[in-house]
Amino acid sequence: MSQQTLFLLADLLERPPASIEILPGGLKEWVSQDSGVCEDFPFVLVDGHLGIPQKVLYKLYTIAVALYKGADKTLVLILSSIILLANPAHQTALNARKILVREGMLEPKRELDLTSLFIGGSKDCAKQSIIWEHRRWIFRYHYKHAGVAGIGSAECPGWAVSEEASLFPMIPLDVMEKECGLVRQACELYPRNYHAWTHYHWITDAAVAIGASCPQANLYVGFLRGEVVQVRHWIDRHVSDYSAIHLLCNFAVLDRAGAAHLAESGSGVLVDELREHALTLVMSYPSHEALWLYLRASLSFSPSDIARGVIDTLRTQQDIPAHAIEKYILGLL
Amino acid sequence: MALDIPLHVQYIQNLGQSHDELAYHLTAHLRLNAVYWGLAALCTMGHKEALDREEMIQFVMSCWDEEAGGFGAHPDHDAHLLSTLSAIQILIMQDALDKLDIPRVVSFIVSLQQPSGVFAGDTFGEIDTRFLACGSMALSLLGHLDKMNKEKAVEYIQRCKNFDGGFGSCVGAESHSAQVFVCVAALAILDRLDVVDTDTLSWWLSERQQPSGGLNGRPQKLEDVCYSFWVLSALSILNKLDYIDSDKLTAFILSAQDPEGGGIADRPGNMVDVFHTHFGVAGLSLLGYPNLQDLDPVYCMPADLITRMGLRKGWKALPRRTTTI
Repeated sequence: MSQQTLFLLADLLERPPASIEILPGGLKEWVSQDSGVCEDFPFVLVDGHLGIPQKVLYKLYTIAVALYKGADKTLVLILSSIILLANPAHQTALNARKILVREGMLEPKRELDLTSLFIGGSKDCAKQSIIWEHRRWIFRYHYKHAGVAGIGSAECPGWAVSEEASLFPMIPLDVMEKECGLVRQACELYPRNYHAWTHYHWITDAAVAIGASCPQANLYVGFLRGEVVQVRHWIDRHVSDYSAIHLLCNFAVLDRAGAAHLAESGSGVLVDELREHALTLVMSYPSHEALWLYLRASLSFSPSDIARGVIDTLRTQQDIPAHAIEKYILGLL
Repeated sequence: MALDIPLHVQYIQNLGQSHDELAYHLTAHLRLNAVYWGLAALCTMGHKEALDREEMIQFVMSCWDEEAGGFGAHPDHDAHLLSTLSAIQILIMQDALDKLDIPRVVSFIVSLQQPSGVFAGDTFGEIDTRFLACGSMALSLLGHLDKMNKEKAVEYIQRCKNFDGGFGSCVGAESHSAQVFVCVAALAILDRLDVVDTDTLSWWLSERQQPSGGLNGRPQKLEDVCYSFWVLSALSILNKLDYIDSDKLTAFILSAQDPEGGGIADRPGNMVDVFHTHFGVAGLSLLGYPNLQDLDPVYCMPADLITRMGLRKGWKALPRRTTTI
């Protein structure tokens, strides 16, 4: 493996490809009869989609690390992209790229595009807290702050207080929607993805803050309402994903505090909709701990007489184990 | 199956000897942390001397970032709070704190506390309750806890408390066993355990035990040996270790040993590493497994050392057994 191959990969990433995929194994597994002579060898480029054999990537990583010390800024830009694709937790390489952004050698938009490619194509990237934080840093650098204090307050647990809200970057709505889509993509690639869902919370927290300080507040509330629907549908398809459930319950807290009206019906209360949703799911899939915790959380936000009514309903269901009602729900009352 | 202490000691001794291996390069960003995990595991197994003291101190000091005033995870890596805490823990365990420029490192740590009370990991600003705990632990170990804003730190942790009693990585983040440990440990150091909803949190932590005996970090995730420490340490600090079936958990940790090469993996049959070896042995120590040394669950360091430093909190581990049965 040569430095030439390293520069070839850097060049392919720079184009950029439509997607990337880390292919298991090495060269042999991916070489067809005629691919040995193609210009992108040892990589696989089909219709703009780039495949990188994992063993090749790791060999290039060791070369990149060896060249990194003492490299000039142009070379650091190239080497750090290879280092991060192979080892996305490499803090020093990420710091170097932030400095390059500050110095104008790397456009923030290009960096967002590249890390988006990495997240969509590598499980290891998709789950790294520091990669998601890198994106937040770029957003904060690239967009001006919301400034005017947002509506987040200490009265709304789980969301930014005013001082924090004023520091959120003014990310345009279409970029936010794309970012939430990236999170969902990362959660398909690496299920129950803690740091991706935490990033999603940050995006929605920013939407709350910006919505409070711009004339198009209704558009941001509309965006949040759309995301509530998206997360509910996500839970229908991923019934063990407590990370998504946690986020949905946080939306209920926001709605209850009057910070944003997020019920699908428009005029109702979100927690009422979530309680019905949780109850339906528990009755369909009573073996899932995540769903019982969903019901527990939604009941904890509900009046006690309604919670008792739900318990009575559960007790009439033959498929619902009594010990589960006792373990997850009764302790609340 | 019993804990094969000699084999695990040998496994740790052999680590890092093959500097040409890919795995060595891929984990460079965790090197100083790994040295701490190895040393702490050796201390828990009663074999602190198995690694060369001078060589270790020399490596720690080679990670000093003169510009930042903290430690990186590897020579030429940028300073970070995680690696700085590891460096402090190693130097204290090796009785070599005289090598440290304490005023500078205290200044670096204090500079990372944010107006909200949480700490950033480095000057670029990633925030996490992990870093809040690292900052609190490091300052406490150096005798400079008064330099941080303790009230704001407690306030931030309170804001991270979720409706299930657990704590997440930041405000709004899902409860996670490892984040529960860092928040509970920080609250113990800050003498504010009253913030914890002990009954709900202990219940949530006990629900992490799976039919295999192992513990997971979040609902419906796979069990993993490292949570033996994250969950047990929090329960130990809350004096609720009896919420866990200790025999089943002990059997799970022991089943994740590599009986040939030594070391402990995340789950039986998987590849071992020093991270899981340390936290597996740490969990066994808290469970009173015989022939192990007491481990302080707040600082994850030898209990006798923390006691001598006057930093011991009111945690309780299970009594040390004399036999494996």
